[in-house]
Amino acid sequence: MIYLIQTFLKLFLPLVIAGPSAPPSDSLYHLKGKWASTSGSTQGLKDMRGRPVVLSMIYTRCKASCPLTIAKMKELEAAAGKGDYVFAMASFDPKNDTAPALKKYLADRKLDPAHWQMLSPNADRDARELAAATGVVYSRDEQGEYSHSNVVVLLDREGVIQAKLESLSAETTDFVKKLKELSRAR
Amino acid sequence: MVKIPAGQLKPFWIRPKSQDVQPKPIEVSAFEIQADPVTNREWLVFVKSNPEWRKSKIARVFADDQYLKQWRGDLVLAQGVLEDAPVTHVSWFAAREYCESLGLRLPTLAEWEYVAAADGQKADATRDPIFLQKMLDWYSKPQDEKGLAPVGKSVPNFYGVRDLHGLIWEWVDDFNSNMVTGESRSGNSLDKDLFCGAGGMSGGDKENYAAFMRFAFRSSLKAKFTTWNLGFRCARGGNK
Repeated sequence: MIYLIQTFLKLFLPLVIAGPSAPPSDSLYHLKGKWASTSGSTQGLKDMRGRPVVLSMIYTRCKASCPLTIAKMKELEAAAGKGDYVFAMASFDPKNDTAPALKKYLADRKLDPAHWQMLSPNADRDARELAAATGVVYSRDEQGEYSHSNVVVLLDREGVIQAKLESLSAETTDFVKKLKELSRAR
Repeated sequence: MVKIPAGQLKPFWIRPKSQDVQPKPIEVSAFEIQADPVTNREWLVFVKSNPEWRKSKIARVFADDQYLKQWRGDLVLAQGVLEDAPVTHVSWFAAREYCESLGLRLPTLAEWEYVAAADGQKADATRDPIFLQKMLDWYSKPQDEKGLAPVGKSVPNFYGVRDLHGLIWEWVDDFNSNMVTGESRSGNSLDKDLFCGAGGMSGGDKENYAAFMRFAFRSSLKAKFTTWNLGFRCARGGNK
């Protein structure tokens, strides 16, 4: 009798307590970079899995185009309507853009933490990896200022890129359409 | 590893604002770099201990479907591919992972160009017409996808580093750091909305055609891209 119970548990317990399956092969959630999120997560990138994500890269000391990137993302948010999206901005700058600094940045701009997150890279290499995966080009000068392209990507619930804006003046119709489709699909 | 002393690199990719004002040279800290590109033999050791980087197992986000095309299987090279040839058909993610597995890293673009500026006799041969012609000869010769030569056979440069020219192109850590103005391939005019910061760059040093070619090649790369003549080597130290 004990033997039967033990066998039963050995067979079925692993299935019961097993975690979620691995994301698809082309998901960004395979990336190894360490990101702290303003949501409180220490696995900031992976922990967005399960929700559609609109993702861009910025840094808070950026005076020129980064405010325009936020404006573009707010435009997408308005066009998309209601949904469980995350609008996420990952920073290039591990030195200045710590999670607390990013939290303040969000609060100063009155961006709703239920839908907006910012990601702080643990080190330069983490930012470089995410930029590489999303097609963002950037460099840092001696003063710590970043030159960077303004790419916005759309990730589905499993972290696979489904749409991309190559610049702030790119056409957003297809992007918004896909974003809406993702909020319906589960 | 070969020790490379600190020095300066002229950023050939920045157009001088006028004849008399040269762009500020880039400071390169002393660092170390491998004398030769990483080989198939070394890659085999890596994938034996790191199965998720094998040809059949690699995640598609890390490499395209040409990954390790010159390998017949996870642990077997194709016919005619030499163990001591440079490993190619590896993506930036894979190259990076390899270096990190050894406590090393990819060289930065500045570091790579700095070391590659040397010929056999001097640290900076970028104004030497013989050196420049050699580069052009390599680029103008049609290359054969089959049968990459083994590493380490070329004449070492001033620092003792080999195969920086004439064998393969090489990944660098910040390959995605050069802003390009209006890509002529796509026919776009400069799109100011694309870039934050300084933005405008072009081949400032017209004589160094080879360096310009590398600059153009790198700007066409995507991190998961693999091709038959793109490999890498590792570095360590420096202020990276």
